[in-house]
Amino acid sequence: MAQFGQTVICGLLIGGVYAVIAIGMTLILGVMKIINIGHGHLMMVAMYVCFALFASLGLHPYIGMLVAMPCLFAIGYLLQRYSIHRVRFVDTILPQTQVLLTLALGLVFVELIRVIFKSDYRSAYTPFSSKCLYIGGMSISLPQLVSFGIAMAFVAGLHILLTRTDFGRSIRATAQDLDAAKYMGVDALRVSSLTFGLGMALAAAGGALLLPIFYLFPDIGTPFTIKALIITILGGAGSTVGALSGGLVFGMAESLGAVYWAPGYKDVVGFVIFIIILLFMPGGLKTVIKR
Amino acid sequence: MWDFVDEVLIPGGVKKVALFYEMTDWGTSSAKTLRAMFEKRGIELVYDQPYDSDAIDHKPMLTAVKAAKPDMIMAVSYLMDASLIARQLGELRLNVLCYMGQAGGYTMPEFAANAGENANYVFTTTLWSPLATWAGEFAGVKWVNQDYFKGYLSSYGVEPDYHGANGFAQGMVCLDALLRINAAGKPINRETIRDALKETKLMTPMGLIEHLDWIDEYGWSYTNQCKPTTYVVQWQNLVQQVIWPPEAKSADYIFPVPKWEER
Repeated sequence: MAQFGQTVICGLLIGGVYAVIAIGMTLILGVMKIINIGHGHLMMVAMYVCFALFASLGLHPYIGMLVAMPCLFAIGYLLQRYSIHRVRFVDTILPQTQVLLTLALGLVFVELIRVIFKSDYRSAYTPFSSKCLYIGGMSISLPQLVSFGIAMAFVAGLHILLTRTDFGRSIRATAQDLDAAKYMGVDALRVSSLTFGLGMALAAAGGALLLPIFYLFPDIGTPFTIKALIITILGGAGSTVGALSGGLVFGMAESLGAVYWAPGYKDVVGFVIFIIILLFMPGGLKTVIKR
Repeated sequence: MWDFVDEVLIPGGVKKVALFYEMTDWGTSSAKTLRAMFEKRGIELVYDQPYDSDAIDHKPMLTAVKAAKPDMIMAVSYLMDASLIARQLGELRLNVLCYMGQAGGYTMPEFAANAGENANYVFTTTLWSPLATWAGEFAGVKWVNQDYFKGYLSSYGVEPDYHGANGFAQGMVCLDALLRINAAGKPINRETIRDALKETKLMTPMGLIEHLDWIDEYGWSYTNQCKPTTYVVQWQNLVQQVIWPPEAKSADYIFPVPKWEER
């Protein structure tokens, strides 16, 4: 019983972090209908911002997040406004040009970071990094618990932003029907740019929450882009509740797969669930939740 | 390592081993040998699984390991997964008599930096230690092992581990072969280099390097391989101490290791 309980705790805690990383991608995909392949790479940039503050000033990544998020918001805003937007509505050789552009931009950031920081592994290990609560033979990592709490706060905050504010209504209107939103007076370019910035800021938050419990190197972004994409599809594009539930489901799937099947195949469980959702529930978990 | 297992670990109570290894060629091929050697000694492998070294959270795997109740953990890991596993073992309070790594990430100074206090009492095999007292003369220059260690540290600002010593020794072997070819007045080509390497008998910071051919007890054949000394080291107060073989030790081993609750 303790083994099952420990497995569930591990899955939920890491799933919460996955959710906040993915929620940025789901926001961008929902509004702009493009998949940001550079999502994980930009999250990596935020992690390096937090690491630099930790290494030079001793600031904990949770504090560094307050710097990393505005930085990534600004980067995201500028990328969307002056780069991605330029290829979004023009005829190009491939219909997926804007997706390839996000990949290229992400790779540029990877190599820039590599030039500055080299490829060495880094970590922001503090005595707090290994602190745990022990309940009934199970251990609960305090950094992961704090990260989970902050992640839930971000998800809740985004949900409130989208549902209770004028800006949130503009985002949802743009996501539902771009032309209709324009006719209703929504500045679609501004909304798209701010949304992209917001998505990147949320990815930065996810990266900052990950840094105390994981490590860092320039190529860390790709697996997280894949996980974010799976969670986005799993939860349903554009849905905060979907991203949350998708993240938790994915985290649990990895955890249960590692314990009860094999740790080497834990990703297979998540991918199988992904394929099942694509085949039988293409709208994602949000279609079930809304019912 | 196996004489340490036979003379210390098995008499000390190790009967069940949990083996986990990173899932690329290095980990799976190392595990093949480890598995055979443990089974030959009648040790039960209560857990035997590959894992993804890039995983964010190894606790699910370690939860399954804990449920298997091993006496010893044998791990084949790169640097950062080794560090993460050591941390998460402590978080789960996974108590064993001995936690041993198969070199790799466990020997690197960054392992202690990233795992913190959780690195203490971890054993690992290694092919080199700065404490080894190898010495010799090469190209007219007398050297001791510590010269390599100090030179590396002053050049790069970080301590080397056996990977660096391995590379340095390889450089010496290459240069030695070329010098012997030159001294014999022969041309430098593939054949003379091959022949010179075959005749290598050179003392290096890794110990004596010779290129030998043999077939082991499992029928696996080795061609032009060398047999450097395998040490067993243990992290004690975040410093690697050579604890085996006894004639080369710098400190006594601590076995069984203290429980996490007692640290």
